[in-house]
Amino acid sequence: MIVKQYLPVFRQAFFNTLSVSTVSLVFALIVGLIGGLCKMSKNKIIYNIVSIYVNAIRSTPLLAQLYLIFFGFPYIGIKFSPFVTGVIALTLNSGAYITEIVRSGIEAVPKGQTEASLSLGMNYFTMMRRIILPQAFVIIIPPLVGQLVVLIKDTCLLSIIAYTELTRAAEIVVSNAFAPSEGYLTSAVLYLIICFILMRFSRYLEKRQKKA
Amino acid sequence: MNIIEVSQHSIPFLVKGLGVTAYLALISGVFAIIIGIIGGIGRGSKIFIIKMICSIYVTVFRGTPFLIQLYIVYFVLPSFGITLNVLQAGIGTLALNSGAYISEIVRAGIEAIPKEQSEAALSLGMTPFLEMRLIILPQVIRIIIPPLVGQLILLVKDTSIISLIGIFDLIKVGRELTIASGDSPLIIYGWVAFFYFIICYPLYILSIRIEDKLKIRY
Repeated sequence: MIVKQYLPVFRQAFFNTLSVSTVSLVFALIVGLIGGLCKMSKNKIIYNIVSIYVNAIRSTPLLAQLYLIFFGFPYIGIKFSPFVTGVIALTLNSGAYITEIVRSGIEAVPKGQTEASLSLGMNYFTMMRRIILPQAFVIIIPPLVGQLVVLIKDTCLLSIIAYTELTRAAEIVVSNAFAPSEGYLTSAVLYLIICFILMRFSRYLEKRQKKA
Repeated sequence: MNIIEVSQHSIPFLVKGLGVTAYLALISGVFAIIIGIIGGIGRGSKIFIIKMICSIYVTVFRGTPFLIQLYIVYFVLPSFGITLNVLQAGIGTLALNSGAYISEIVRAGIEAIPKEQSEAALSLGMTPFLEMRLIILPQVIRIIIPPLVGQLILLVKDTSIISLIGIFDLIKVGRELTIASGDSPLIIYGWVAFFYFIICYPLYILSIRIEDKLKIRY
């Protein structure tokens, strides 16, 4: 039983996959929230900077971004560990998509809410914190969970920069035991379990929202 | 390191790689749309087995990373007697992967059509096939085109992953150039990213335009 023999590798890899995606998600949420607010800004310069960021990230593959950070930056003297490289690449990548999710969430809150809170004398931050964002948050949760699924699947690319996550674990099994079926299929099943639960959760949230 | 010199040296190679990327995207895009339409209709089927097969297909392909799917097709299938070359494995897997997402788009599009349309068509004596072709699909196409273009952009970007099993597409050419010449990876990968950008960004603009156009009509 090759899978049993390599179980510790898979367990560690499973944990690594989850930890790199969780850390990236947290940072990506921060980037996305700031980006989303900037995209609603009336300041042309801020708006354009964020738009360029979002378009540049969305129009290039994650693999190219990863290569640029992992192979390109050391050339000018900036070197990160595989984990940090992965977190930076995934944060920048998911951050762009979450920016768009946050923007559409804020836009979905009726304009009357903004007008009402401003006429009550709230300033921008109080209005965002107390009125707009809590309502936008409920709207964006299902697409956010969807983005998390994408993020978890994207961690597989970190195997290229030698971060031991599930895909890399499979590669280790393949090269050590020469068992491609066991290695790749085990990883695939583990990915499927994580993503299936999240996809179900997202669908449940969506259905509940439609009812309300 | 001279930026202009490196660019002059590497761009001809990268343009060739861009051709391969475009070829991969085009062929697998066509197959993905065909698979997606069949899968999307299949998911709404009244026959349990067809419905079951389609939803298992969609769940499995959406629930696992494309890279793993590619490795399984390219490295695992040979041990079951199915040997594919790099091109077949790459295009086939990408078509199946995107086809799963397009199935979901098509299914959502079909569900968005009011049920009365289908009832009216049937009560006029149309066969289910005729009803699909003349009544449902023309309306569905207008709904699904914006998300479909979005999915095709993802497909273009996903072709970069096929390079990992050895196709010399845009990103692989860039990778080999940096290894072979020792030129600044920052410049070469910058160009690689730029070439992807000039394919994907116009598609984004197109999808926004189409979405606006459809909005005005309703």
